[in-house]
Amino acid sequence: MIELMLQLGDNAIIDYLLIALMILFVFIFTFTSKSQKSKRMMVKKPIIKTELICIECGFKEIRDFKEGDYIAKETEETCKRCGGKMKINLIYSLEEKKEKKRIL
Amino acid sequence: MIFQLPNDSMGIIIQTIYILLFFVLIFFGQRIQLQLTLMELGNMIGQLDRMRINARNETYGKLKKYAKKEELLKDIFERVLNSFVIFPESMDPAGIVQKMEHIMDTRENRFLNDVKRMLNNPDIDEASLKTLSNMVEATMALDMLYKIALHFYLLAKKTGNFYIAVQLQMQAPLIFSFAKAYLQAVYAFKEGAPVGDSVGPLVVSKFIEGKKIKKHHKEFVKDTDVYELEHLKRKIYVVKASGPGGNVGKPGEAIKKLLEKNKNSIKIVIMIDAALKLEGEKTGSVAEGVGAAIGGIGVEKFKIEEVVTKFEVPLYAIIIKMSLAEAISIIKKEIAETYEDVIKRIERVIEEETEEGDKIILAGIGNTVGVP
Repeated sequence: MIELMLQLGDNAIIDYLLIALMILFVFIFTFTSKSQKSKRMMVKKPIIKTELICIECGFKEIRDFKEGDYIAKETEETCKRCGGKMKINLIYSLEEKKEKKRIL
Repeated sequence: MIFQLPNDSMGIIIQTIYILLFFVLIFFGQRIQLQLTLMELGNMIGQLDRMRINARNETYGKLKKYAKKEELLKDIFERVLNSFVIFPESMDPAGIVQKMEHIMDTRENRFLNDVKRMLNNPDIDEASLKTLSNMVEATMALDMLYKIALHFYLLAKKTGNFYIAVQLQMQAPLIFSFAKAYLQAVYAFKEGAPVGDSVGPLVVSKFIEGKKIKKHHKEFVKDTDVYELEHLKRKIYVVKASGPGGNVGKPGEAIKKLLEKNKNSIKIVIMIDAALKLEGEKTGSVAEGVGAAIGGIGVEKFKIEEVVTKFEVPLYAIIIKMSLAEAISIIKKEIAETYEDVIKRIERVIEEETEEGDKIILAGIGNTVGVP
């Protein structure tokens, strides 16, 4: 295409085309850097999980965190395997990108 | 040839634009750059403001749940958010630690009483009260960060000084990481879930779990508990802040009291704490070393260093690495799960450095929110 234009002797078209490309490049660069910045600024609400452990048989179960949960707390839940009492073994947040809700 | 201008009217126009642009950039280049920087900073300030308002709303909403009188809450909440601390003069540094401790104790008491006053609720338990006061503190920190960033932004705008704007622009990523961390801390304290910094208390809590506790000294010193137990045929004093409310306690004071009480019979002190990782280091990686593993303004660290030096007790530290944001947001799975590894390391250090019948102090340092 460029060769064809050169043959035609119309350098101006190439100039305009290059200028247009440069403007397009500037727009793309600005847009991507802006979207990257906004990604960096994003604050997500954490997903909190509570890991329960059976006091009797050591069976572990994971459920969503409930207000009032703390480590080593004996809960009302019973073990699905032996029916024994469960206590909170660990509480932690997970990084599951799909589940995260953007709030800002 | 590419970019060879045609000798028609269009070519003259383009050439004129180039020349004009050349002069505009020479004379107004910095002003244009200043405007672009200010525009970018304006966006950052706007985002910080949204984060600050979000933190305020979350905290206010949580406090409202417990508050008896909303008018009282509103008044005191605003006053507390604007409160400040003046640190002691350091021109003559002798005795500055005691002065610092006194000022920080006064501030803490005043702050806790203010939270009590704004809630005006006698039924609220101590743990919830402390977690709520932690939430207000994180909101205050975010508020202060916003005010400082806004100050420099407006100063750059007012004076038209490009370099003030650029300084703020250079700091922007760090400011943001701090702001994000504080907002995450607000969410963590709202839920009352452990934060990354709770890993120290979490490890010692797991260490004593299932073991026969000989004595539990509740409030051994202010906001700090001590558990006495036998393990590996040694007597171990476990020090941790009183949980499960948000609280860091006074582990330095507790270690000092224990060492003074037991004179020369304590063989080693082991401290477990969260530590800041370097970029590139893995979150939740564990490292061992010597020295006082404790953060804060330095009062507790000073006390520990002074007392272990006085009694010539070796001081060992095991740290769990994480970023600042991870330290004050809800504990990550990879950090929480390090407790087994850390306990194994504690037991190894005990076996390597002490003999049967020796006395040991094990201190879990950090905020004990969500850890009893």
